[in-house]
Amino acid sequence: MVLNLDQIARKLRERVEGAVESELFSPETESIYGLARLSYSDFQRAMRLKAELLHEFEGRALKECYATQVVQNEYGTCLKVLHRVPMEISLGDQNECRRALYSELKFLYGIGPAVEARLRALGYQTLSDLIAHPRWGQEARWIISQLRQQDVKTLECLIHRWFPVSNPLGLKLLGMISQEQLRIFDLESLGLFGRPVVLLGLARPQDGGLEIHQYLARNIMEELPALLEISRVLGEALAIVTYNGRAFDMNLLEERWSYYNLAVELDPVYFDLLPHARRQFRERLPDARLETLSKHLGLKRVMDMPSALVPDFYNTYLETQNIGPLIPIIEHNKHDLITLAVLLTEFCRCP
Amino acid sequence: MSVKIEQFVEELQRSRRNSIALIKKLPEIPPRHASLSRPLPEPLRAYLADRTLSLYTHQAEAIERVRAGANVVITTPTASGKTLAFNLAVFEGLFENPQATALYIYPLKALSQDQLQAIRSLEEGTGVRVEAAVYDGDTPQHVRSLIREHSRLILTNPYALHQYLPWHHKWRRFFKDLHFVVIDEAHSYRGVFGSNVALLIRRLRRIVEHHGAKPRFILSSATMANPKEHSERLVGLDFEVISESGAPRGPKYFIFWNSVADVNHSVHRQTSDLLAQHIRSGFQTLCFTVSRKLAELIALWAKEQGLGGEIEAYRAGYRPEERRAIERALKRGELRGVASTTALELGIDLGGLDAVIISGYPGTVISTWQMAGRAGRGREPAIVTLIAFENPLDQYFMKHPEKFFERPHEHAIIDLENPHILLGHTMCAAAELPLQPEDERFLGDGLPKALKSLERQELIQKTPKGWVYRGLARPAEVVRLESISERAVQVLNEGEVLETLDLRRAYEEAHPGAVLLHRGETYLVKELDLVAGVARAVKEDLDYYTDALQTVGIRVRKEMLKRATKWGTLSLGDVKVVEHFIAYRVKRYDQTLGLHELNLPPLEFETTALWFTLPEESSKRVMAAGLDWAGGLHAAEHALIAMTPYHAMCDRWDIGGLSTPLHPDTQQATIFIYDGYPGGIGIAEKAYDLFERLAETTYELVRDCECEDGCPSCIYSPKCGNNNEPLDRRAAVKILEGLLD
Repeated sequence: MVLNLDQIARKLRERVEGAVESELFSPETESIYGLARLSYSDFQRAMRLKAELLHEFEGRALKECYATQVVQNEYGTCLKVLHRVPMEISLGDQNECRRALYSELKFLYGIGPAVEARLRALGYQTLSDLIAHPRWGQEARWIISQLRQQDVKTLECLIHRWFPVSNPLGLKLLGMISQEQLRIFDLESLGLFGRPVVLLGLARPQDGGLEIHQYLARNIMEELPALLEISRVLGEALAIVTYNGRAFDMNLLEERWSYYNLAVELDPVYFDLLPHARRQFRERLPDARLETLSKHLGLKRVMDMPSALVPDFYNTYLETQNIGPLIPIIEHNKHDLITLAVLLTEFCRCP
Repeated sequence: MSVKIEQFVEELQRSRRNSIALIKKLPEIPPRHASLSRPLPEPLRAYLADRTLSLYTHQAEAIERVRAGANVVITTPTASGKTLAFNLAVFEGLFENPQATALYIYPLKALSQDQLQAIRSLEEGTGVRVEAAVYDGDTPQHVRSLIREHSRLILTNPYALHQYLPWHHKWRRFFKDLHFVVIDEAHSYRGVFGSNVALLIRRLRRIVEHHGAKPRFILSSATMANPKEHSERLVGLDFEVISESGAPRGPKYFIFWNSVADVNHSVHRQTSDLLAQHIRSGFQTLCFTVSRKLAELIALWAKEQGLGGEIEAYRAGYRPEERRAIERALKRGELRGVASTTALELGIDLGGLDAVIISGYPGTVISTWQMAGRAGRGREPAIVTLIAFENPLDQYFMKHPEKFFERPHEHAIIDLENPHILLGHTMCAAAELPLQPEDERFLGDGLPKALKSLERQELIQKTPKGWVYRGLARPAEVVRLESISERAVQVLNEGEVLETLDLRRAYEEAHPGAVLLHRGETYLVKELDLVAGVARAVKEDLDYYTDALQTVGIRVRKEMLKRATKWGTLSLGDVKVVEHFIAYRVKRYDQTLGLHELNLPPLEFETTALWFTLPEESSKRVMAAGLDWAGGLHAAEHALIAMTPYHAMCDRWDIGGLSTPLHPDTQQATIFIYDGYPGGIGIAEKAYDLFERLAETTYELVRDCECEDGCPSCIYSPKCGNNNEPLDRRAAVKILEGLLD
């Protein structure tokens, strides 16, 4: 061969880099995944931030900036970054949830808005009122028997069989779950799919605050240990809250588990807040991106970087071994988790 | 009717004696049947019995061998029942194991849609539930997971598979019980495209094996020169060949029609007249044309002979539902004639037709036989007419029609070692599952070196679970199976999309002033907005059409390597191939009404080329002998391109060439050979390396060819942009001689 393999591989690398750029700035990324397309001014601002960080964190270690622990498992190590954020979190309560479920007449096959209005006018306000109804009694008794089980999974199936994913009843179910069994999850990756995940963030309400554990792959080798670790901690959860997790985070996580041939069986109830946010803020906000919501909720970002640039920042960190560009990734993920906790409380207060 | 076709042929022979170079009657062949050692399962047996179908020998053989666990390639002729053979073998397997699944790969989307109908009717007819479905870029999002979860027979294409393999965890149910992979029209996978697909299939095998399955492969094609070798290279497993057809064939008249005999009518008029004549005689006829515009024009002109509702054009660019409607009407016999581009050459089941007209030699023996195979309905007689254009290649077959029947099918070449292709697919594979050293058995023994190079470029990284992809772009996005221009232009009429063209086609057919023909209607293009990717056309009743004229040039961008030879310098480097669309002709029938200038930016692409300049003495020697210098260069270029596939392991259509007595960058007579792939794909590189052998074999080819002044075996190119003119064989011999020591 005239060109050697390395020269050909370099050509390939150039094409890969070219493709990254076009993906970053392509309008398709926006339309398919609801992600913000990057403007050149955002890009330039982010590049300035990166340069400053490289300067500021030169020679420093992550453990000087955060509480960290090295996690070891059978596949190697990764780094756990810990934060504690004092805040009040409430998920509604069981009684309220039950009240809401029992007063939803549309659970019954054959009852739509029109029939519901007619029944209410006749004084039927709850499912219990319908028990003796000649037409709906049998069905009402069956639904009530389901509701009595109090198994969140069953209830969730019941709700989503009849109602769209954005129906507020879905969120009411959070009242049935104790805070210890709930996890908020958000990940950062090197691409929309088919590429490594580098930071897996998990938050749980505890003792009047939010405990945040982030599993960081300090290099590509650490992705697998981090994936194993997150599978274990997510396995303890009864409910997992995400933002667009149905389409993205959980999907990518499953893809990566399967890529490494990790057998993971999770069976929690998923609460994806995206459809609820879309519904709630449709009229008030231009879009339902978490960044937009976070601003609307008055939460301040410490260090702002567009999530589309996570791969670029992470790669700079890998190349330079300077932790500077990691800081905004960690902060970004942390901030998203906090936003979700605030949003959750907000939704549970007034869905 | 059987008498009628014979009468028609006789009458033609009498009345058009001057135009007809040969009428060859291919004899009738009776059927041969065979029974199976063990009967098919009851539902399949009943299905055949209800339709009074009994198996032909090759069908029985295919079923037996698949039962025995072999990978088979079926190469019996078009319409011999290959599809039924592999469908029965697959359905038997899916019937016996209710979990078993099968994947069918077709080279074109339209073919999978067409085959789906056939499989669904087999499903209904037998009651064997396989929930057959097409899964490709057109499959709506909301049914995708349903298909992955429930279908047992999925039809797709290589482009789609290339995109879906990284999602294999979603396909676990389907892959873990994959028993059969069917690859139809296997001859399409040749050259660079074939090499890409060969590596894609190895990726598929690796993934499927990871999920626990080892499917049998069934390949099929009517036209393969080297079935065993080609199948084994394409799939990477051992194959058994089934080539003896048991299907009957009616007598077939193969007519060679030379258009130059009739000086009053262009070849296109003669084609449309013949098409109309066929239809008036009651023959359902498919007419193949060399371009989309000609398909439209020939249909239009034939219609004008009082055949309005009976003829349609058919080509890419129509909406899928329009195409389906035409196919259906043809199958039902409602349409009596269709003028089509090669879009109808492959696979789509049209039933048999009475006649096929091939207007212009399609460039390969394979395509000609594929098209000819469309004629013939069971044991009924059929006619195939090859109408020759004026160019030397077509004329060669008119002078030597018997040679056509002697010519072998073109060899399908696949290169598994091309480092450009191997590196790309290694990267893709690493993104699908971490790569292990053992994966050599799929990707070949070049794998360890490929891994090292990719690692050095930080595209993959070694981890305890193997090599992992770590680049930032999706590999399947970066690695392409074929060189397709991605930019598309939509032609709008009153705000509605009339059709979508790739950029090059838009330059040819939708430039300002162009008359775009769409299903017999004429549209005048007012504007071509390249930035927005939109052409605006208005429907107007026009009695003329247009023809764009273009020129091709090459500019040297960077000479990477050069070496001195005895006769001059051989160079390899980056070049830019530039196509200018300079003007268009306005024509009515055969008459040119005017020439208008075009003002479009040139179409360009960058690639790798080898080139060499020829010394002054060479031209002096050629001219001193009274030979044509430009014709010699042109002929030498064609012959070099004809030989390159055998040295550089590619297909002729993967490369391009250009020769000129004076090139602006070299200031000398120069011949270029370039890769037809943006960025280059390693062909010119390999030819540069092996140039002495290439020159020597090319010289021998041109010197020893038995023809007079050139033929398709030596200096005629099936894809020459200048209609194979000028060409001078003896000058080429002198030029090539000069390249040897």
